[in-house]
Amino acid sequence: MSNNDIYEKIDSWYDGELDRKDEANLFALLSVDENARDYFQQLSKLKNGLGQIEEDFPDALDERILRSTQPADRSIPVTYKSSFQPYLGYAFSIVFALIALFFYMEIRSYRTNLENISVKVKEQDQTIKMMFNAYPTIVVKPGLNNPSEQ
Amino acid sequence: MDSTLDFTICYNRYKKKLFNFVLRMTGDRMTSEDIVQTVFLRFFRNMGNIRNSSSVVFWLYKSARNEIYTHFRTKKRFSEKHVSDDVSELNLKSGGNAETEFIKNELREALMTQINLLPDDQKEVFLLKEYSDLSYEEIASICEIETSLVKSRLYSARQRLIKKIQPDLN
Repeated sequence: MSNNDIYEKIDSWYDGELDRKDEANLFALLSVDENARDYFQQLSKLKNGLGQIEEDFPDALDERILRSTQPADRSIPVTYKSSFQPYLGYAFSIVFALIALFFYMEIRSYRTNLENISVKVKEQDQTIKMMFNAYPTIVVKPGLNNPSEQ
Repeated sequence: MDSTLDFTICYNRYKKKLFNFVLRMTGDRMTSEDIVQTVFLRFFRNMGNIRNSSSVVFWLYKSARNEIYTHFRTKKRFSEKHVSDDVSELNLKSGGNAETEFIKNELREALMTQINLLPDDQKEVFLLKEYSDLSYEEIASICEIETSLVKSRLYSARQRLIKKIQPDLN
């Protein structure tokens, strides 16, 4: 077997293209052929070297791609859903605050009316008392013209 | 299954390798980012037409290759050679052995330079094999060449690289 054939087998083994049955032959050849062994080692180092020059995927690009693949029809309802409940809560709070304000004003108005009425009642009471006091004194004279006694 | 989930799984599995393939092919980071973004967005839109995971890899690399060639045709500089990375940007990792890191950086530098100096046809096959793990037949299909030609280009590229960076490898 020529050197090129052996190298081709080594290449195939590294590329995962060598048949299982040929693997044993290859390793048998490697054990006896120093050049093939050298090539095998050089190829291994080359593979390791390639691993070292591999660069990380840029974070900015990662973010850009993932943002672009977010489906538009999904993102809108999510935003709507997430913001709907707080808005509903705010709306109810405002309505409840207005109702509370309305009742507070009503109660204040009733209270003022009640105070006015009680003042009027007091005044009327005093007027009635004054009127009673203004009447002339009634003198009750006892009369003894009982017909039965005559 | 949710298509977004499917996409995320495939994307996370292949993004790094695909990016490195495009980066080594174009030698330009900005262009590579644009191409990778275009490929993945097109993949997202066409996911329904791709049946299994092996087709996914094939589709991604085929699409990336087309984008690279389109880019080169547009810019009309396919024959130009680029030095992808400035050596001064290679940073030494803190806490490690400085001498070992220096040797590793030397090897990286030599490898990147030699990959860039490969003939375009060899470089393409070599990078496709190293970064995609596709079979010879699939690479042949992507490059629209014979399988035997894939093998011979791969072999030539490896021989050349080993020969050029042998001192660094040793």
